[in-house]
Amino acid sequence: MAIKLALDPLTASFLLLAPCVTLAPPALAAIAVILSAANGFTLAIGLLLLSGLASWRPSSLAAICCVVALALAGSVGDFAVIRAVPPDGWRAAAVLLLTLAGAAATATFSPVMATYVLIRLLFDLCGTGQPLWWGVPLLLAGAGISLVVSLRGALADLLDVAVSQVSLHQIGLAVMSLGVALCARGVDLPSVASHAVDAAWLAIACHALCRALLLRCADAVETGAGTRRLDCLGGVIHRMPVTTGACLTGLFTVAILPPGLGFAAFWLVFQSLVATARIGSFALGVSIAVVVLVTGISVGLAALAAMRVASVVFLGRPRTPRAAAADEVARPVQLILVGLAALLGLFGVLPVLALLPTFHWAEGATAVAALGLRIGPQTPGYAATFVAALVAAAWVALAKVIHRPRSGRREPDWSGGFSPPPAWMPFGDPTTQCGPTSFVAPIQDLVTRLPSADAVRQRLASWWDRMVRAIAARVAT
Amino acid sequence: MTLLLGFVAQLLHIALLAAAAPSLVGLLRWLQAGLSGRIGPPVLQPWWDLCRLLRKQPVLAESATAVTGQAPLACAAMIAVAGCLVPSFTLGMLFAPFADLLVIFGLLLAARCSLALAAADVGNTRGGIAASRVMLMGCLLGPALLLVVLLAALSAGSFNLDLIASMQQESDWQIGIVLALIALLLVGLVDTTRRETLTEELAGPSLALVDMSEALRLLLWFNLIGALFLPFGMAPAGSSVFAWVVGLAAWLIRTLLFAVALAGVRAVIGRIALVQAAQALGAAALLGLLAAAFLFAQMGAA
Repeated sequence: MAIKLALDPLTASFLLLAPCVTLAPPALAAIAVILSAANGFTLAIGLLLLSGLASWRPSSLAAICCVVALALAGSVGDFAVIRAVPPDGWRAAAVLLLTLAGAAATATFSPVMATYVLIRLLFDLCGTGQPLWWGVPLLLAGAGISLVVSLRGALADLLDVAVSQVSLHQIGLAVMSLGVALCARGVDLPSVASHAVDAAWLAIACHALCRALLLRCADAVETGAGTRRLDCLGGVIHRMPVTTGACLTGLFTVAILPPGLGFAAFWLVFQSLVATARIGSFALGVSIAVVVLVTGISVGLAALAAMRVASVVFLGRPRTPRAAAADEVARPVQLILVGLAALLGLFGVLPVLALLPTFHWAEGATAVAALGLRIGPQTPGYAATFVAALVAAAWVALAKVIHRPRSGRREPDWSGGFSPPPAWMPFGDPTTQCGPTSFVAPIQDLVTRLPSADAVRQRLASWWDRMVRAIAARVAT
Repeated sequence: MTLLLGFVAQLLHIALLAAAAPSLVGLLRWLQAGLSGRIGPPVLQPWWDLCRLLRKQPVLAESATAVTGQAPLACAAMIAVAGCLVPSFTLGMLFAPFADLLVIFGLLLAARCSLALAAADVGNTRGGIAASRVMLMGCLLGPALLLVVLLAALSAGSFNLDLIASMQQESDWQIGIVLALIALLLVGLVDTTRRETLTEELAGPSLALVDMSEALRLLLWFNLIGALFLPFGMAPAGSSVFAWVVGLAAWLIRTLLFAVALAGVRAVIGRIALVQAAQALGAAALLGLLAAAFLFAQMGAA
């Protein structure tokens, strides 16, 4: 067993995203090892190296799962052997389950690498000649991930947790589109599979860029305002306009609003989802309808979580003196934030640019159109550039014709009938402002009514005990 | 020639939207008042209100930022663009190739987010709560909307509203389509309900913009439901001016029927509370799911 490295277009595409994942040289080296691994042994070493000693348990689990999956698939020693003879029957099912477990373990320390593991093992190595059902677990898992992470993002108390979770919504979309791609391959629809892989790539790129931008913005806010707690921030836009502008761009993208990169990814995911639903299988169709239902909730939750962060952190009044005296970060950091935000904006308006790296591994990136995306040569698609231009034109025209903000008069805030704050509260009474908890109070109420994880575990354990006893009693009689 | 016709049709459509939207709001108020046994305001009252607001000096709260000024503009721009994409009296307008259903719903969501930001900008309790509730409503709208998009795209084979409308003109009604129509009517009913607390901090031209956007949103929903499910009489792409006249008459009848129905519903059930809205949207999502099951069963049988 020896280390074996190889560079292919898939590796090169993911290497482009590596600086968005981490900037630490050892972690970058580990990512390079994972991405260029040409056998299971090297992949396992890369996974162990990436997580380091801090999280050895998930990385060990990920490495073991991947190695066993590759062994079942045909060979740990060389990827080329698996490509030549993909697994079938029970081995295919075992490979799917082990890869999902390995990717889930990898996602605890690097979601982007988890999607790479999925693409490499399920799509590149074992994906040809698999049955239709192969993609269904990924489809359902993707919808579940989208829902859970957007809910977590909406309920988070810390800025970095909130933005990180919301950006993970794109990873859920990516997993979903990989499921669609596998389903489409299973029924021999290569163009749909190609669109789905393009969609997965857009979602992964969107996640990587948004996460990099939003976490840097969270760092900037902590540096400038001294905290990441949402209930201690507020009104940051007054003191940190550049950081606010960059963060709002990232939040706009993760909220899946047109013409953002997140919306482009979502559009393509939905197109491939509908194309797969046309196969005609009732069970798959109903599964896709359920996935669409869950995706609808998760998209709304992602938008809510993004607007909650924007409203609570950047708008409104400062909640603490430290937030009121926040300082804008240093100029080089501002340049990085603005650069990342500009890149996101550019990819949103021209999603074709974000798809360029997939030209050599996603069967030609067929979703590319002149002004945006489309799913077939005769089909009108999503013209991101046109939509952006039209919205900008309407905005400017309305501003010129109707709006006259410069002649505005400033008046004291209407506090909804509350008495004026006392002198020792120079930033107003915090109870007269909607906070992070009250913003999501109805959702919080709903979540607290659900049984906790411990309660579910106890119920399952007692159910399992009863079942085992019943079986034992039946066997004894 | 087709391009020129499309351009003219697009201009006519924009003029029609601008002229009809505030009048439709006035008509609805007048009808609602009449159905409740009151004498309603004149149908053209929204026009006078808009002119009055546009003449007023803008007043901003002391803690308001540029967001309060720009968010209503963004909201109006998004809804105006979405309105331009949804056909009213004819198909084949200049922007028809870009009339993607997901884009239209995305623009509506973006307009919703803009309003939420405008409400939360000043930092008072009522504005923040209004922003929270409007976004929460977005979560509940999403499932039913996406399911209707799925059904429409499956039936027509495209997400393009023009193609869906032209396919719908030729196809028969099925149980799935009826359920999807009911789901979309419920979603439209909730989405067009005005939440006044959202605009408490706005005044003058900003408030006029939001009022105009809400009127446009109402008309957009009428046009959208008409194009998706009842595109009867709509002039086909590249048709003559005579067909446009027929299309205009059909659009007028359809819009009036929708207005009477909506006024009747509002007069009967009154103001839709948040809980009722959530229940209605839950029912819409379930109807959408049921419609999808029917459609897949039919596809499987065929």
